[in-house]
Amino acid sequence: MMARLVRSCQITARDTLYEFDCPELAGKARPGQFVEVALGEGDSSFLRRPISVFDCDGESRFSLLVRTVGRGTQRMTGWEPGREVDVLGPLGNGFRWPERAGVCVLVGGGIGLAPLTYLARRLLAEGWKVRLLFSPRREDELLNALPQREELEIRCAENRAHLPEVLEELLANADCVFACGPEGMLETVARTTMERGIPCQLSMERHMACGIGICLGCAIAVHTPEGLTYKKVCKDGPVFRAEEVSFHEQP
Amino acid sequence: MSSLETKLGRAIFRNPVLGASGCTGHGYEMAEYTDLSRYGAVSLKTVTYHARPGNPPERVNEVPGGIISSIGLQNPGPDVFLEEIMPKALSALDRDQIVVSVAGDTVEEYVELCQRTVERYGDRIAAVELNAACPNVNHGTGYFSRDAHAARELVAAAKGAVEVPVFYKFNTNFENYLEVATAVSETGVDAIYTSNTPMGMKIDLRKKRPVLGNVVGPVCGPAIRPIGMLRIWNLYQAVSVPLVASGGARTWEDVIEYMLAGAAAVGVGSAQFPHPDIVPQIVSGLEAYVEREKLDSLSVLVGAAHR
Ligand SMILES: Cc1cc2nc3c(=O)[nH]c(=O)nc-3n(C[C@H](O)[C@H](O)[C@H](O)COP(=O)(O)OP(=O)(O)OC[C@H]3O[C@@H](n4cnc5c(N)ncnc54)[C@H](O)[C@@H]3O)c2cc1C
Ligand SMILES: Cc1cc2nc3c(=O)[nH]c(=O)nc-3n(C[C@H](O)[C@H](O)[C@H](O)COP(=O)(O)O)c2cc1C
Ligand code: FES
Repeated sequence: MMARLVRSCQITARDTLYEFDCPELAGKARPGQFVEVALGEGDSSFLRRPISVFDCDGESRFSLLVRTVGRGTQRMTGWEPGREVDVLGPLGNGFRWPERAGVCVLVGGGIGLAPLTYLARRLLAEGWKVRLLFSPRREDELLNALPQREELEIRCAENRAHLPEVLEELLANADCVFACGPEGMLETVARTTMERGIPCQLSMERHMACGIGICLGCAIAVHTPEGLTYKKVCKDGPVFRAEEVSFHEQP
Repeated sequence: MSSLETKLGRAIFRNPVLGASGCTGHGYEMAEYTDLSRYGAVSLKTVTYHARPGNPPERVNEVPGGIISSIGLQNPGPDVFLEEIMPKALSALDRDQIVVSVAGDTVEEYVELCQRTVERYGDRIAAVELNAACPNVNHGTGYFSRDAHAARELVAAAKGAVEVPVFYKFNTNFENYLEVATAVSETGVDAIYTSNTPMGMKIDLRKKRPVLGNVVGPVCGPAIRPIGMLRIWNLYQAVSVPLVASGGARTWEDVIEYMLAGAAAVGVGSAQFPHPDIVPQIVSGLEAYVEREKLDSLSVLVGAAHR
């Protein structure tokens, strides 16, 4: 389907926010889901790029927060408002949370902040108290992208070594945790929350070819009652329970 | 007769555009994104004699004009395939659209997979496809693609064991591929399906490590189309069996080009990843072409560039 770029806004030297008009997608997207963005016609950029839904009004508009890391994301920075962009989605399972509001902790590592924003919006609307732990502090300019900054209790960790300390503090009386970021950070979050017995969901990343479950390219090792097995990040994920994810061992 | 109707030996398909194995799921996964009735057929993801977990991540990455991948033939094995997957494929595709792709380490394993499939679903499928390009524990990857004697033995055994049409899918990236195809053509195989994917590699500059968990993997997509074209051209001159091309087909023009080189049908693989609705678009393009060119049948184009 086609989404019309309404505006783009540079947040940091390498992160850009793109806002699209696309009722078909915005009406369906849930926090934690992603879209597959086509970069344009031709053989030169063959695959789409998977990007999380950063924010969404549930009716007509959604936005993406994209870090420029390579040729495709570089090309996106040249997109002018009014452009029709070919997107596939919303894709993947998304985050789940209990009906009864409580206290939750969101942990975002760098651009891993992206899928947590729409989640924060929904949780706040349902009466949750939302704490956000962002790491590393030197990238905190990225927090300028957050629309609901005042309503969140935000803490920054200096770096990965400092993160467990701040996380411990934020976990006091927390009911659940949601995290996205580099795998090393996610492993730390998984270990810490499991030790404390606090339910935790992680948004995982893999290189994707199709995004819809047909190529088996996005395999992630997951613990199941039948043993260690590969699941698809695009279809079974990208969100997994912390205790499911096998960070090192492969089937 | 519809002008796109395509005969591959005893198998008859509604059009020559086939969803390639491993790139089309088992059909049903695509239903939400495309019109499956427009596929000539779908070769289901290869099922192997023993379940395979597949290769460690990362498994795919973009390269110029395509992708490099190393899935490692992940599949749940024949029990789950026959019990759980086939019923779903049957509900998404018509009888004439289902091609079951099988692979094993030995001739016996291939034959048993064919027999089990046909016993259960023989009257509900169009053909079986012997994937000869797969890893082989005893003899190394592509054994049945590069050993002419083994290839002939394999196809003859499968043909003798089941009534349904049998396709032989092999990788042409071996020097003796014409010899292999010639040997296989003597078995009366219904079609020879080519996967023309050469092996490649990509290195991540930041990690200073190969991108793929398996280090190496086949390259597919538009980048390899000229390679596939030459292989089909040469095969058309070497054997008289119907040929199925795969390698970088993305548009109706690509399909026509492969047909002119000698392919009777064309498998569309990785082009479906970015565009899961691409096959219906290709078929519409072919319909418009046939109309424009006032052709009674697209099949008159097969090998026309040789004449
Ligand atoms: C489910 C999911 C959600 C994501 N959400 C976001 C997001 O909200 N914001 C954001 O900035 N990025 C997100 N990413 C990462 C984003 O997809 C990649 O940064 C992007 O594809 C890079 O494209 P490129 O052409 O600029 O880079 P390339 O030059 O292609 O590669 C640069 C780096 O990007 C990564 N990458 C490249 N291709 C892919 C691919 N097909 N799938 C995954 N990673 C790839 C690799 O790590 C590579 O080293 C997400 C990835 C996934 C899997
Ligand atoms: C991710 C992926 C998985 C594949 N899996 C299989 C498979 O299970 N069996 C098979 O016979 N071919 C498999 N192939 C090969 C394709 O069917 C096809 O022959 C090849 O990709 C060339 O076509 P393309 O350039 O259109 O992709 C796979 C290819 C890809 C990219
Ligand atoms: S990206 Fe193709 S199966 Fe997940």
